[in-house]
Amino acid sequence: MTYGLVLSIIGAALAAGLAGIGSAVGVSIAGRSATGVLAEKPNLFGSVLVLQALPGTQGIYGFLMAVLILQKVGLLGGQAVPLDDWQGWAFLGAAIPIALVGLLSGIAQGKVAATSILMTGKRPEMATRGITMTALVETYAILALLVSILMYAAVAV
Amino acid sequence: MIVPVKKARIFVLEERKDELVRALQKASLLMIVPNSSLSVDVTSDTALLQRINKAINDLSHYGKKKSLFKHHEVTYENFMLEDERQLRLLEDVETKIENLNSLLSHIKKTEESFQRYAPFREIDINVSDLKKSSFSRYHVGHVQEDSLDNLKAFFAEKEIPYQTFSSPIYGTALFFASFYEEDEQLLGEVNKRSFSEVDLPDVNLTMSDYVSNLENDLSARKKQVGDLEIGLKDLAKSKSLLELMYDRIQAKIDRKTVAFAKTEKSFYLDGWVRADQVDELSKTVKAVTTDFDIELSDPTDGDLPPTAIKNNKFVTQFETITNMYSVPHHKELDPNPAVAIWYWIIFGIMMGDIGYGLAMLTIFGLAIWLIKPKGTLKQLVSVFFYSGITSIVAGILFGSFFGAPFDLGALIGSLFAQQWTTIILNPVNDPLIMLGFSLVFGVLHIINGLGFKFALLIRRKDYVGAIADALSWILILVGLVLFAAQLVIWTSASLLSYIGLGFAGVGALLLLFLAGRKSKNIFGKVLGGLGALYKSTSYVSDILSYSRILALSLSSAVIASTMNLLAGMIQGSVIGFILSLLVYLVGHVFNFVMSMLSAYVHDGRLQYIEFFGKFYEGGGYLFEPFSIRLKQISEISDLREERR
Repeated sequence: MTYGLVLSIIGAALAAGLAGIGSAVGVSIAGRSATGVLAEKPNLFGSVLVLQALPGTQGIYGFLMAVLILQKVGLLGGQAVPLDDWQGWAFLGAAIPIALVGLLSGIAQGKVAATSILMTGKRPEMATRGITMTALVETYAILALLVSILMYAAVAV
Repeated sequence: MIVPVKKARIFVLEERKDELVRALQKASLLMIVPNSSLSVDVTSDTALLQRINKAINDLSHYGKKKSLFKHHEVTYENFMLEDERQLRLLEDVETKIENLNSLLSHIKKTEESFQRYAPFREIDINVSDLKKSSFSRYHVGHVQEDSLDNLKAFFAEKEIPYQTFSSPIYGTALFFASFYEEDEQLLGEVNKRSFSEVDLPDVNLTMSDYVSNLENDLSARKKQVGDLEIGLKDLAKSKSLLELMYDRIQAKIDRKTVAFAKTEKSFYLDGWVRADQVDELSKTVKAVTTDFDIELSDPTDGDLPPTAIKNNKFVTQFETITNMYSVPHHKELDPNPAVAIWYWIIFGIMMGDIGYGLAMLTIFGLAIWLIKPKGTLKQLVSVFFYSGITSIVAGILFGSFFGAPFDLGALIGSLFAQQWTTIILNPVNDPLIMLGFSLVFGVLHIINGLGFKFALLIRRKDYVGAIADALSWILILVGLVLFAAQLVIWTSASLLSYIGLGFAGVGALLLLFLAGRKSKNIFGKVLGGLGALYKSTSYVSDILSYSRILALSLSSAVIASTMNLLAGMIQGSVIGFILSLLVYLVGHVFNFVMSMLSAYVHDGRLQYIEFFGKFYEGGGYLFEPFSIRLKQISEISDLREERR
């Protein structure tokens, strides 16, 4: 009896869970600014919505990682693959980068998104620059996702 | 390509001024430099504009639902025509709306009194008699249900005559009488038992007559409202007349605010004209008057001329991407052709799915065809439309159709009994190869940026700078790519890798010796050279940034296949099958929208930070010639289509 499968499930849970929390908090921080701006300027809905959606990607990355792990260990549409402890720990480790960075960068990005939304409220023509500045934060979530995927790809089952 | 602009000063006689402005506005050739010395009063026109705007808004409540697919086109002659019907329509709408509003407020008041007095309609006494009786006082009002019994007991004890009626809104309606000596005291007692008095209306009628009068009045007014609304609905059909008028008045205001400066005998106008449209401009002026003069001159160093950009139809759409960052400076190279191609390709790779590509072609193609957007919106929609093509190509190469494996080559091959395939790389199965591809793509993009910098510095005759700041890095990057390619493909060093190392070495030496050239002393020169080499860390991070191409194409591909997996898992029964269709639909729409958003944002970032960071200055402003600005109507059919 090994714990491999359990550990990989914990990995998937952390990836989807923590990154999801990060995005949820980030989107809600941005959303609070968005509702305030929209109350004054309803016609900015489009650009404000884009800005609010930006911190949502970390959750998607975490979800992506969770699905990849579950698929590889055969829990999604297939037979569960027998894993030894070593493989289980490896999957758990592979999930850590996107889980942690997803959690923290999602929140951090939400704050930048919120201020960008306020800037858009004052100067609508600056919306794209706000979007670009907000996207800069996401770079590190993307890098973390990449590291997670590379580690995941390296684990043989 | 950035077209040079020239300064133009047009002299005309006073009596030809208005005609000239009209012709210039129609021709859309000259960007007029505002002249602050003369001010023109346009308050009456702006007031008219506001009236029209209000009327259009009011009418929009009565017309058909505002259609997205509205396309309203007129000829120039009809556009300029001061049509009597427009003003009449405006006045008509205004009167009707005013009548309607006063009717509605009257109805509201009447309804309130109706609700207040209706419970008392059974009191069959003339209201004026109730008021002027000399021995007794009459009171009408309402009592809350819970104090009613208390009050009835009180009336019985004092032997006060009263009558109650049911009142649906205010509790119970009450009518009682008192002797006028006792009235004040009695009323105080009754008020304590939560009685609230209603003032009787000032009429010489019985309550029942009064209430039914109110009723009749209400129904008559409501009928009038109905008639007015029908009338407004009728007027709403000719709303386009008002829209035309709005744009015409706006154009008129624009013409009025063109301020001429004055010489002793004539008037003149300053502006910018594209160098390739100078002849057209003088032709336009000549058609108005023969007594004119145009002075043309090149912009001097002190001027800040606008940036006129001219590209083919494909590249023009991508100008919006560049302009969102910053409009090119008039003295730099136009980055748009390069931005167009890179943005187009990277967007496609990030989407990487035949199905999503087809969806983009369909949705945005329909949008261009049916909605006919204008300006930057049109450009953005076209960018997405074009990127649908690269998405399909990338999808064919990755073998993905709405997340399901799909090999176009094998399909075509099976027709000819051949083992063909068009799948060259599956990012999900071979993320490492895809990562390498993304980074190489990034290096090429950055080299392209450095090439721009090289060309720009050469054009400014800073030859040493071109070699030191641009060529050196190009050599280093090309050399390292050759070296790496050699290692990956043949796994051992050979001639090619030595050539690569040689390139990189020459580049590094150039940097080392030339980067500190501006320092006076030897320490400064050495430090400058080393500092420039240290900048290679920023190149490393720039190149690694292109790994997002892999990450985003993976994310859209994996989520798409996850949706297929989820839908497949519930397809056991008929209900499951229907539910699975819903999962397919919602899941793919979600993934499509999120992937598009990510691709739009991150593709833009790669242009703005990694690519533009190498050479782009920006800070210009667009050449926007004086023309007819259309807000309400779509197009003036016989005028050359405005570029923006």
